[in-house]
Amino acid sequence: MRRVLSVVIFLSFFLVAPIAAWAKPAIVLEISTAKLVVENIEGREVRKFVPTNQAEPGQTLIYTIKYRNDGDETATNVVIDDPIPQGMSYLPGSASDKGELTFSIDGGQTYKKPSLLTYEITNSDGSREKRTASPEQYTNIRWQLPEVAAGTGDEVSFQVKVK
Amino acid sequence: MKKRAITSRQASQAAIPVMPAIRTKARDPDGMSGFGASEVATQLQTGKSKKKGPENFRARARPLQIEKNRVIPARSRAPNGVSGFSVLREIANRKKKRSSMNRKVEKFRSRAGPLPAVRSPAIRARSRDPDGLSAANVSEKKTTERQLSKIKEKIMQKNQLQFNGPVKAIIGALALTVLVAFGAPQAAHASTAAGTKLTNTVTVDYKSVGNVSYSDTATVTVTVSLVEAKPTVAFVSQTPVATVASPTDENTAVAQTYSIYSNSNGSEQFTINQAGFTATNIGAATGVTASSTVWLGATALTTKATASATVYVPYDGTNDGEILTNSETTAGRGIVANDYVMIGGTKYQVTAIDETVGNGLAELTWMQR
Repeated sequence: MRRVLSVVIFLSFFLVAPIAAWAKPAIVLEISTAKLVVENIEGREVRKFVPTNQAEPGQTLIYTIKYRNDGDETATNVVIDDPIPQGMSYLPGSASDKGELTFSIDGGQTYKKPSLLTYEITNSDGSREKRTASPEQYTNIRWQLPEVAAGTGDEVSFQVKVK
Repeated sequence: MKKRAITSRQASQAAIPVMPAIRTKARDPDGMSGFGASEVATQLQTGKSKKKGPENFRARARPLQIEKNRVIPARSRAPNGVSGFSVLREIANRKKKRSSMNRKVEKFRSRAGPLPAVRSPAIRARSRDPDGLSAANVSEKKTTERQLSKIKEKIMQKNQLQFNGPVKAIIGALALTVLVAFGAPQAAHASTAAGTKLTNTVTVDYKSVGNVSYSDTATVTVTVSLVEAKPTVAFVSQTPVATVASPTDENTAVAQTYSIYSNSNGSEQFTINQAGFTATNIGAATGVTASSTVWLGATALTTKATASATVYVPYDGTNDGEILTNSETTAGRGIVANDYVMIGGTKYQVTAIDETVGNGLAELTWMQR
């Protein structure tokens, strides 16, 4: 009886192990663009975002990033990194406040909170001066999420102005 | 009462306590009012106090002369602006506190009994105390030393507040000034040229429970469209120049030159018409003799415009000495040498174009005009 039980357990291991090995997270990303359109409807100003792939200088665009974990295991240490395209400037305060939100001014080499994003310039007299970066100088946005459970998803967004 | 000025040295030696209210009114270096200073001077001269009866003022003052041979600096020399008397009082207070601390330490030392002849391991450890205190007294001494160090810390903090307070305030004001002076925003840049493709690629990195790394990306592209804008037309010159004193001769052709600058972000065609021309006492004008249509364009700069510089613009893909804008594909509508370009209202003339620099860029050299 004991021998039979051992054989069953042994065989069960080979049946279950591959299934466990197959389990993994699989986050799928989608990104879309919409432009801000202001309409006057019955004397009221209505602002809405309309999907577009065209933009004019000075126009406000919103980038929406949807993420969904189609896998069967929780994804951990999820980092969504989005470089702000050249020719666009980030609109302050427009990024979704989800997880840990940080920004970069050096092309994604370092990320910090806006108040800690500083850079140094050299004055004409040779002295060094530290300045806080303005939102127009942001090059990347990053959201860090502790985890995304299997079968779940959400979205983050931010707005830019076309230069 | 005889009024006479008093020196700071005399007042210090007299060691008369001065009330803060009087110090603030005082013009005397030690902070005494005119009345207080003259009174002390009189007392020093006569040896009598007119206010307090026959008691000799010097006799009252002597016992207080704890710093007899030391001249207390005048108010102006004190870093926190206190008078010599205040400094004297502070010194006396510190001496008092120091002696109080010493008394406490001595008290603990006196409590320490002789070490026993047979030492347990614990006592041996305690016997290493340099003051030779007993086991119980060692811990008590440590507690007191902690308390004393806290008192010292408080005194030091108080001193720092007194002496450094004004300095800190000045530094704060300077920092604010620096922020206000250097906090101006940067100048705005020119608009993005029509046809520019702005690509956004987002990346997600994540890990499985077993710490295996995964990644995914998504991309979207937005194309900048042309925004039509009214051009800027301006009179440039007239040949020959006609003035009231020297009018143009009859039967002489006059050439007037106008400039037209596009304000849009891409290639646009403009038609030039002669309108609103009124001929008075002259023959019919020939009107516009040059081309009646003109193509103007716009492109993007990769570097900031300066008075004389070499800048880079997007390469149009054909090395023909002409830079077409992103939305334009027809030759003859781009930027060529000797063309003028306007950046932020400043006029530059293109002196050379090099389309062989690579990296999707063309080199454009210009000079401010």
